[in-house]
Amino acid sequence: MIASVTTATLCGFGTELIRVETDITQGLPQLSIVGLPDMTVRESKDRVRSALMSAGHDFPLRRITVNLSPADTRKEGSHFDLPIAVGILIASGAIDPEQAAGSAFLGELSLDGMINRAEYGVALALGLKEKGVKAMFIPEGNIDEMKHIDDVSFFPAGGLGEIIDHLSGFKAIVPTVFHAPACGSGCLGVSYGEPDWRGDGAQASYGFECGDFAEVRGQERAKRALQICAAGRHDLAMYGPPGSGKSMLASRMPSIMPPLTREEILEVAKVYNIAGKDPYEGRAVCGRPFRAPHHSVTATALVGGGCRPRPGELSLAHRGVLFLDELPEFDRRALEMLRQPLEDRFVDLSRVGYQSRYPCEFILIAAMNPCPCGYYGDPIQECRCTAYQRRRYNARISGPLLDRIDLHVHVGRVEYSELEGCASAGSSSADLYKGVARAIAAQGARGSAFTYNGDLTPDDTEKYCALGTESERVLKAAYIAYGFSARQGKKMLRIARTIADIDGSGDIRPEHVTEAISYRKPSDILNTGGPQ
Amino acid sequence: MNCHHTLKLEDKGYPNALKYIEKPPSTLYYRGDISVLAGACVAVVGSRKATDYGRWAAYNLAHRLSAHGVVVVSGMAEGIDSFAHKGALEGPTPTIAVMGNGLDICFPRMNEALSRRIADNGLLLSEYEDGVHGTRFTFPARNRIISGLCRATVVVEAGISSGSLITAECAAAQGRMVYAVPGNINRKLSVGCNKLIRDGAAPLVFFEDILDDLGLRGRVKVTCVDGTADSVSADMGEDEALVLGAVCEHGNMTVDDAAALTGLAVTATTSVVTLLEMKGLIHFDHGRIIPANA
Repeated sequence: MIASVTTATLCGFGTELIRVETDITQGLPQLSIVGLPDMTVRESKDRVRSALMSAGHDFPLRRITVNLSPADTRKEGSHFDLPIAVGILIASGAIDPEQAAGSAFLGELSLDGMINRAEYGVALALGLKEKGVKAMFIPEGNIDEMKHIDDVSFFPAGGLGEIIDHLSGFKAIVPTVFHAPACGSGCLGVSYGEPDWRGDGAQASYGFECGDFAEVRGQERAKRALQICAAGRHDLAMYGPPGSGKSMLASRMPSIMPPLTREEILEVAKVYNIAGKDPYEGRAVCGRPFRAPHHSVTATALVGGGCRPRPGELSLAHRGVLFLDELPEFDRRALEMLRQPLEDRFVDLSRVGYQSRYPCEFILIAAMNPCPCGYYGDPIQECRCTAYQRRRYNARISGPLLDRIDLHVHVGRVEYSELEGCASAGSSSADLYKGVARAIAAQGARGSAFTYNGDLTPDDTEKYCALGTESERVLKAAYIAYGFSARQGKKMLRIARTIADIDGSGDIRPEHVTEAISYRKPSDILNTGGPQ
Repeated sequence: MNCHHTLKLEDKGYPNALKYIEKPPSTLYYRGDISVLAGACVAVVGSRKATDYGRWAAYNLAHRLSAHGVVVVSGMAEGIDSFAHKGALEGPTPTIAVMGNGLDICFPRMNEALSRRIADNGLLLSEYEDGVHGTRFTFPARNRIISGLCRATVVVEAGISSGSLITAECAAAQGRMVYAVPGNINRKLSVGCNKLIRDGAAPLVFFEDILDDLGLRGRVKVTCVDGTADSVSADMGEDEALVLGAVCEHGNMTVDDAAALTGLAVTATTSVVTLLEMKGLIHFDHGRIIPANA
């Protein structure tokens, strides 16, 4: 009898449903696996044989053929052990095939019959759910990471024996089903989980603590720029001398970002899982990733790659923040790689037989000094660099890359009196988040699908960022005064829209436009301009 | 690039002011409009390194001089010189750049666009023929031509060993007026200027001083210095007046400072700063607000 068991394999960023077909015929005792298995899958026959015998079953001394269908997809991962073992049991008549129909099996066997954690558990389970599979037998070690996948019956098992007992009706495994919380309907800003981490009722389920903006004295303009970025998903470049607080500001960004929705949590978990990391590790307090790769990062590590492609830093920052400190120190080639993903918000990697698309919808925060010594434009400390050095330094970042960054802000030195705290502490994360929440609500109420202002298409920009006559006049004057390109003009509109949303204003008023204009790209970053 | 002309010492058009200095150049190579030499000339020079303050002063002084029909002469070096030329080009009067190398070579390279603008709207001068590269001797030597062409020389910003001090020395030796823009005494780039003042140069306290001293004020060509004022309503709101007042009173400052001084919100201050900048009343550069008009 031919047995057919369902499982799945990773195919780039996607998941493909795999049927494990097992046939036992007369012939010399042997087990052959066909259907493009990789080395790990090929080796599974020895694990399966020992595990079956440890679980108290005979290993059929006949010719066993296992076919992984579709046969032209490469299969990778050690989780094929369990479906192969179950297939052999069904084919040998030990288990009723009806019992296993409709369920998927994932798990790596050890020689003593135990089931080890499957490496790509979350990604595979998500893929199977998408393909309509409602019941999955998974290793006990994977059950915790499935907590955000709802409407699926998970049968966690610690050993092969438990699964055999369940399938033969001897002792059932109690299925675990996770339910979406009532409020987590997928709209942004609705949060669930326990700790009230911002003190304003917003809650996140997990993640490391990041600081509060109240700890940064002064720098109100930079905080405002970060608030706009968090509210409308815009990218930001900060320029300033060493020690002015650029890194400190950036690292507090997650504290004013809305918690992830359920869908987003799963998207991010999948990326991390495929990257070979704990699906929920390295998240900031809002559940969003905060990635700050060192400037020695290679182009491949940044965008992803490898012979079996794995997501890079860009994708690991999906739905979160990518912070590039000391931007000009990065490898030029690595930086140029950013251009297309910044525009398209995904990375395509092509390998033999397939192409995979990794999402990378992050907020880019770049920080740099204005010159090699760091003090150009500082009112107190004299800059030691020649104009030539300064040009060389700034020329390491290409114009097109800077052009794609929405907001630019100078972070100056903070006077001692401000540090003393005699002035008020300034805006805290909770203060700033109020504006962000307003803007998120406004963006959600607009159009059919939720779109951040930073992602509006040209058509939508025209539709949602219409200006009144007075605002139009201001923007027109700016076009003339600063020589804006059409792209920059549209960018100003989207930023002005976000500022108006933070304000809770339906119309974009002139002051919103002028504020947006103040975050334009400085003319003298690439040449030593000045008033001209 | 080789479409330049020559002017010999014995030629009729050779400027008188230059004829009677020590070691006048025997041949001048030029590109552009030679009749510019007939106008009243003032040199605006300074160091290659420049602060916001220096760039602001050079740009606006040159602009103001140009508006009053005065030809601004400088050396087209980086920093102060470039900004003097840029300011002058914004006005109606042509400007003169005196080079320390052959006219077929553009040095510094970054000023290629500027040199083209000057050739179209003024005059490029050099005592060196094509192919001569600038050396440590040619640049100081051309400084005597800059000062020699002019009735007065203004040093905008200079360190203790700046080349523009040589220009000032030449001017003094040639019996021309020397002005220096005073600066804070704790700033390296103002030491040269402050020393000049101590040694007898006139401090430039108001831009108009120089026009009065040279008797050039009557020759005003345009009164409206501002090009953008008419595109945004020029009348100021209450907040704008408040911010502009604070900036003019306290010198350059950040948006946060301005907000603290005026009591406005940072967001409101930011909008006002952009408006003021579009009206040409301030510059917003490297995160600092600088008043545009003295």
